[in-house]
Amino acid sequence: MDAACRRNPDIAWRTVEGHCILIHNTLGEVMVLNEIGTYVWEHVEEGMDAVVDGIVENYEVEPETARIDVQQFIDDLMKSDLLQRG
Amino acid sequence: MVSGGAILSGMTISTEANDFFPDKTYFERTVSGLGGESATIGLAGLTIRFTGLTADLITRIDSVYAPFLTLEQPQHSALVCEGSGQYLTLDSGMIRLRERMFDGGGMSLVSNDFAAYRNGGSGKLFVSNPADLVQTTRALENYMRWVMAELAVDQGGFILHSAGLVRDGNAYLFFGPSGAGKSTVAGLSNLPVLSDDLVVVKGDGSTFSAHTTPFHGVYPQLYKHKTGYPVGGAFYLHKSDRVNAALVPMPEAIGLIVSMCPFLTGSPRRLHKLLAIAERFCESVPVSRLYFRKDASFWERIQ
Repeated sequence: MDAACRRNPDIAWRTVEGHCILIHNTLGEVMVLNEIGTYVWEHVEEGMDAVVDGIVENYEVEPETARIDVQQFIDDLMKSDLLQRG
Repeated sequence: MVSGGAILSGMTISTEANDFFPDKTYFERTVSGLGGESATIGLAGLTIRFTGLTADLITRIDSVYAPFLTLEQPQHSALVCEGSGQYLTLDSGMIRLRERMFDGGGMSLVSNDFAAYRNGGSGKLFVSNPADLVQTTRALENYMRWVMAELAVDQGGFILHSAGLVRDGNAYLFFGPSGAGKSTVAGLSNLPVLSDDLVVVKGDGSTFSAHTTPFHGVYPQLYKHKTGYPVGGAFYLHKSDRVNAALVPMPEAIGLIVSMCPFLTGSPRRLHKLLAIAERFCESVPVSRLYFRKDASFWERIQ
């Protein structure tokens, strides 16, 4: 992920009890993120380093593992058109 | 570690080579209605007026939608006119629906035998074969579903793809995608049916009521009262060989509810509002996953 990664403005989202619910306005797709997925979604526009640092700080995970998993998750969000490159 | 989440619903947009998928100029050109008659249909305060109707269509509408005809001021008006012989090709006999948003406003809904367009409080419905009253009425009904889903959110509610059954003065909603068992549950219950396809849910602050609609699958609605029934519970259906009802956490409940609201697309702003409404709904109404088999024993799990 690069720093220019941003949320697709065509997505409606709302965080409830630590979980984010997303609706894709064009595809009609609904997605519910878990706690860590929600953290990534909410901070993704701050850049990869900030996201990884936050996850390492808040969850018991090694930085390298966090970076690999976050990258994979970001790729999935890109494929689902939930995130866009700036 | 970061598994992210689960996709609950979605639709695949496909285009066939022989599809006729009109652009905005097609819809915005000046056209005449099929005839000079009009009718206003209202459900739970959501009202649509159809103009350009023929006398034959009025007779048909009178027989199908009699309990829903109203003299109320319409919130939306649509002109019914003659369109192309065919829009989308049949895919293995399945009816297809395609929605499209246009730059600068307006959106269309196109199916095999009709093409609809709306922009704000008015729209047009182009039907392929006006002489076929059954086909044309079905197009009118699809138009109503499309527009009323939006009107419902604007008024603090939503339309839920569900069977609505009334027991002891409360409405119980059994929701899920096509094939989940909505009509099966309605058939097993021997209770008044609001609908076995789409139910209007209206919000009044923190309380929610369910209302009958003319939209049904197998079982026509049996309760035609215009008043609503307080929603006692909502159950996402799972066919199973066991019977169980399990409450779902709030975020998942909201996701399940919004994933079963038809015609979600069109406006991110409206979707934001739908998410807020769904949250209030899930705060006041218990939402469960219901595993049921083909008998009425599931009611024992519903308090």
